[in-house]
Amino acid sequence: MPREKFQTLTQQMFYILLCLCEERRGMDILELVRTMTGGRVAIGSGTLYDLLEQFTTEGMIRETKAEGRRRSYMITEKGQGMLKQEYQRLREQTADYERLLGKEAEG
Amino acid sequence: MSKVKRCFANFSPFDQKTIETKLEEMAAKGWMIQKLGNLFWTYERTEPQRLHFAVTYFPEASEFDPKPSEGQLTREEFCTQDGWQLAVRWGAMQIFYSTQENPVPIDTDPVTQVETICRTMKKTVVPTQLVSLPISVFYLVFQLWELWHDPVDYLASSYKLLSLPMWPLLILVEGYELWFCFHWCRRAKKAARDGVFLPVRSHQFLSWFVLAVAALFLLLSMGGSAFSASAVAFGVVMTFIGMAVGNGLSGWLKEQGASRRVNMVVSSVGVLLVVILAFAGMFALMIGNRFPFSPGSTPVDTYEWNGHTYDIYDDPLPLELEDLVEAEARWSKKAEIQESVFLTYGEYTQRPLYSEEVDYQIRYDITDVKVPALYPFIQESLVNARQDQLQGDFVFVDHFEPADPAPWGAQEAYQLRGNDGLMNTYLVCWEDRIVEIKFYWTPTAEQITRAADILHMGTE
Repeated sequence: MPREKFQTLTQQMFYILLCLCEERRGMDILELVRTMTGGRVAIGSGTLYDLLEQFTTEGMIRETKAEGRRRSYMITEKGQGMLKQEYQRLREQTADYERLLGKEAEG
Repeated sequence: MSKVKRCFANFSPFDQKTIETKLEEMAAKGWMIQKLGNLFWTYERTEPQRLHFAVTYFPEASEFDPKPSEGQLTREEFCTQDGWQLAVRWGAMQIFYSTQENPVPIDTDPVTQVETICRTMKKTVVPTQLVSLPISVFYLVFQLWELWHDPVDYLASSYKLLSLPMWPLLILVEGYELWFCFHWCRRAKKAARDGVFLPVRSHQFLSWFVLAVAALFLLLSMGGSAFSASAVAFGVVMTFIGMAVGNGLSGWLKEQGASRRVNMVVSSVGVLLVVILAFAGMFALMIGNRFPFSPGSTPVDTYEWNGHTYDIYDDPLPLELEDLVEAEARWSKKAEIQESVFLTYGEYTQRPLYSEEVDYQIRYDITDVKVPALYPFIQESLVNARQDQLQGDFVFVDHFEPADPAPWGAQEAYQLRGNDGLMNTYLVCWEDRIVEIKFYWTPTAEQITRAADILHMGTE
């Protein structure tokens, strides 16, 4: 998997990493993201599996527990770094928006 | 009413949207997908249902796996827990269905989805085409080489002529499939970075159409050859037996829990053995003249000489030894004729049986050129077919030299020169007929004139 892929995170990658700031079972992430975003963001079950595999391979999350096929994961330091980098990028975007259109947006 | 229905799979296995729509339509009509295959998909009768389908891929899976891997089962469990039911697996492809009104799709991230599809393509389509494309190119180049070096034999053979277009058509399909995979992956990855999933829209119908035309050429070539319809039937039956052996062996090995590698190797060897056995049997029968659909003339009798059995032929010949000499003997007269829209090419021999004490023998090839534009090319190739050979310091002289065409009443004539001087072999060129004739004795001027009259008469 090319590393540059994770230089910016897609919305779904962002929320999966965010959920794994606490140890969680993979399947629990689906429901949590839907609840957290009020249904605005919905992650497909296949996409969740694929991303968990890719994040584990890249060392962005680690497996903490395995009960049969039910596995729990937790974000790593590297994953936290990526998440923070994405958060900064989104904040900069927001700041740019507010600097130009902030008042109109508030109004 | 039938409980099972088979439909032609007229779509690429990566065209998710088309497949999903088709399966939803079938389910609404009361047909649920049951089994997938390369050519046909099988549906079974159920109650009409309003279902949503999702096609997804697990690139690491293979049709040769004895059972799904833990990773695949985990992914499927994720889908099941989100409300999707597994309908069918086929190699790297899985099809799920959901009874929910608006289910969350299985693949929601274009970047991941495209990457999964591209990896699946690289493990399935690309290796297959990378193997078959060079084979098709090899056959095309080989046939063109044959056409260039032996145009008479090639252009007179309907079998070869009609099988020739098959290779460019196969190359077209194989090249297109490869190009499509790389082209789609490049564009889809770019689109995915912008958050858009680019659906696969391959022109599968076009590929099937071109393949059908290629298959038609193959059938026509077999039918157009000296082989009878039985030969075509033999080829078709052997193809189905090969496929059945491959599928049967692979299925049995899966049941026995054999690994993917073992399954692939053993199944391939099984198919190869069937092919080798079929060809070996066919050649053995042909050598023993027992093949029921051998090309060429048929012997009318046999005779024994020095402990060996020889065939006797009694085919009609345009020129017979009796036209040239007075000799009482038992003869074998053999004619092998090939015909196409470009040429008619006949090989004729008349020889005494080995038991006869006669020195006369004759052999000649007649090439009738039906397309005048081809004449110079054919003539040049026949003249140049004989070339001196240098072996060490010794030169094997074997070439045609211009000769006087007047005795033959021809436009051009050539005589063969060997190490012992001029031979009794001539190449005679009339307007649209070229004859290479070998006398096994030195013919007189009258015999040449007589032979020329008879051989030329066939063109008038």
